[in-house]
Amino acid sequence: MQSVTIKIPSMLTRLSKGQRSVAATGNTVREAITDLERQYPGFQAQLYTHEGELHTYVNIFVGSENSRFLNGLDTKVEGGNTIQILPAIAGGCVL
Amino acid sequence: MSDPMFEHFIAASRSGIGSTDGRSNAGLFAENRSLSEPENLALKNIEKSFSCKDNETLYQEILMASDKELDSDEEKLAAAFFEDRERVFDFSEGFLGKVPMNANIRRSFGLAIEEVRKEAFIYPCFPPIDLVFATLKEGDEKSRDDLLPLAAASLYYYIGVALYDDLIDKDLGATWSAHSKEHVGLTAIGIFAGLPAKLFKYYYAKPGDALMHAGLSQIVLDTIYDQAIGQYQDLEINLEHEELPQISEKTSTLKVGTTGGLSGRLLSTYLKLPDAAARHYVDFCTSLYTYMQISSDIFDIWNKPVSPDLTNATVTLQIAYTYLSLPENEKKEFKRKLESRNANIEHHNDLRKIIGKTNAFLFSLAKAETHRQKALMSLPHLEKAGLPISSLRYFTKVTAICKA
Repeated sequence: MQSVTIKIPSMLTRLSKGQRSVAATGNTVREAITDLERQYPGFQAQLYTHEGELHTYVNIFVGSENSRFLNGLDTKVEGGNTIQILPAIAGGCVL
Repeated sequence: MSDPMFEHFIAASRSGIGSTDGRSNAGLFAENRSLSEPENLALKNIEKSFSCKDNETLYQEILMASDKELDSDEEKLAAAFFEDRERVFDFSEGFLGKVPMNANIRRSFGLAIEEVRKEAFIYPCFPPIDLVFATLKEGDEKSRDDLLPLAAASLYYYIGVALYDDLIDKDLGATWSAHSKEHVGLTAIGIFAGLPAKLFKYYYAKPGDALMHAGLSQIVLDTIYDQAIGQYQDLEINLEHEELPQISEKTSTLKVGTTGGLSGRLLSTYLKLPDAAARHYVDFCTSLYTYMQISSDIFDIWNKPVSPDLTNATVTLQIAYTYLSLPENEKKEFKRKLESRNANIEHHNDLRKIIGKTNAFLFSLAKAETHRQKALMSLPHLEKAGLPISSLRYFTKVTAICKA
């Protein structure tokens, strides 16, 4: 298991008790998010669809790479990587 | 009719200035007297905010900058808006039990609300609800309760219209996989065209103010008309449209700006705001929504390996600009590629490569930022009319794609 840091967007710090970054472990983005969920329940419900895929309005970056353009939630992570969760656009409500 | 911002970018492009593929941007952001004040401010802000490398890097820079640090006052505002959103979603779901309807359609309505509910809690600003409460004075709890049905109506409208738009764009999520498109269409229409009027009648048809609920319902009907025109126009635009690129921008305002205008009109009417304040509030809401839509259209192309807009050959500002700025001999090939409506990643990468050679990204960014500047320009008028504007200022800050 790799040790990574997950950066939480300001709007989701209500789920992480105010923490902007959380240490987690996992070999893939999905596993790291599972570990985040174990520590602070509520993230998966916010980030994933009922089918367990990432909502279109959320991005997860591994370092400077958008995981959507890699292997999505199955993107491999390495020890020391920073995983950043970000809303896909700056503001809500678009068609 | 010419568009000065378009002319500005095209002129720069012909002089070899701009594009984010490494050419110099010197002069692209220079003040231009033929541009309006918000347009010049937009150019200045873009220049200050981004180092402008390739489009992917620029997009990432924008995305990273979008997660803003909030000061303690802004954190309090965000927390208050989150609380309001919880209450409005609960209220909207609860109201379904007060209206006679069969169990299946109630389930469909509930599903549509639930789908948007999660999304509403990741954004620092969720306008259908936030814009209804934004001008209340701190601690005005009675008015906050009174406005719940109004905010729910605004939310219903957005949910229904967004669902209908996904149906038109063939972009429905897995949530709707067990529903026919006829059922989804009727669900959407029931939500945006029916439920707001039901709410107004239930809560605002008071003795002595009999016209209020009818007036509010009329505002929703007028908005549906504008929205339908916008959606129709959106379907009609193609690369040979004689009013490109303005028509793409106008369509964003009609399609989405009107939804923002709805929140402003409902609130102004219900609170009986003076005409000038009402006009400026509607302008603020319309500009903010249009800004968000143009930003979202930019991101649609750069954020998803397979872009729904590229698959649907939607002529957004980036596409319109790319086509118009290409040399004649390359236009035909771009058009052919786009209109093949291919949902293949390699195909979309090809299109992105062509778009990336032009100033389309920066042009669209400048257009979006111009609308944010217009929203900001409404604020002093609203303050003069006695409305508290700290929440509105917060919206323009937290949604900003420019750092400045």
